[in-house]
Amino acid sequence: MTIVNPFARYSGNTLWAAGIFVTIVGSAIAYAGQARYDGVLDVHFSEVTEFYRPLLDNMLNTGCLALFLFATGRYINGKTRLADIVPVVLLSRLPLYMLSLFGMNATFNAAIQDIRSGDGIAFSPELSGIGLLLLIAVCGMAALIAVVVILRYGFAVACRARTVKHWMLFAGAVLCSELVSKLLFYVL
Amino acid sequence: MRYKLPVHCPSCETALQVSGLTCPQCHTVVSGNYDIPLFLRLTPEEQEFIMQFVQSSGSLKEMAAQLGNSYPTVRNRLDDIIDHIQHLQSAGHDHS
Repeated sequence: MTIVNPFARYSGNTLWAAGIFVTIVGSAIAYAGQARYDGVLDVHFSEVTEFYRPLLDNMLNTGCLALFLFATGRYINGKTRLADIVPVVLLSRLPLYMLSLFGMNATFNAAIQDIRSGDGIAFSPELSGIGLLLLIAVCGMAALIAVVVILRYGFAVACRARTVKHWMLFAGAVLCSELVSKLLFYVL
Repeated sequence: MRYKLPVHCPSCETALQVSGLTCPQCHTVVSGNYDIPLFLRLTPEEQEFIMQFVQSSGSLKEMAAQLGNSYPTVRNRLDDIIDHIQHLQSAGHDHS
């Protein structure tokens, strides 16, 4: 069975609509799960008082990553269009949005409270809490890998990236956007 | 069955030349050495793509809709063909 790269099949309005839908729903879930995205590859659980905060986070992260990937794509292939990069970035964040579903789980929130109450001192959560944190760590890694895989396939189609040099530039762009987005969140 | 035009020597991979043409009506035979046109040296898939490109007035958007592929995929395919043509042209210059 061959898995068709969706970015090779769909483009334009379809991907834009799907990307915007995913971002809005993902931001709503993040508000419900009290999650913040203070970096391109970050998800943190904290108190979210305003409903629009996760949406602003996602817009800033999407813009930052899209600009870095677009600049890299232009360097690789002069015909690369921003219109092909942005939907890829919007959709690539889906696994991160799914992580915020954990924030809607009462057991998970109790485990998080255990850590928060520790605040620098040794903490001793319940065994079920440790198991849950382990599960979240595994899911977090899986989500991070999924984000990179989606970005990789979308970027390959958007700018015809194929060689090792292209993938090194791609990795550099993602890491730079993570650093810059972190700085922006710190400054703003 | 549609037979594929061989463009490379099956023995040494050198680009083949046309040395004989026959009229199917009166069986007149023309002999000589003629280069195979560059278009015919492309793969059948590439030739088909170029035909579709011309028929859609050079609109990649229209082609993408017809082929059921995304716009950048079709544009990348065109870039691959351009690369192949440039490779064939430079190989041709090297031989001449």
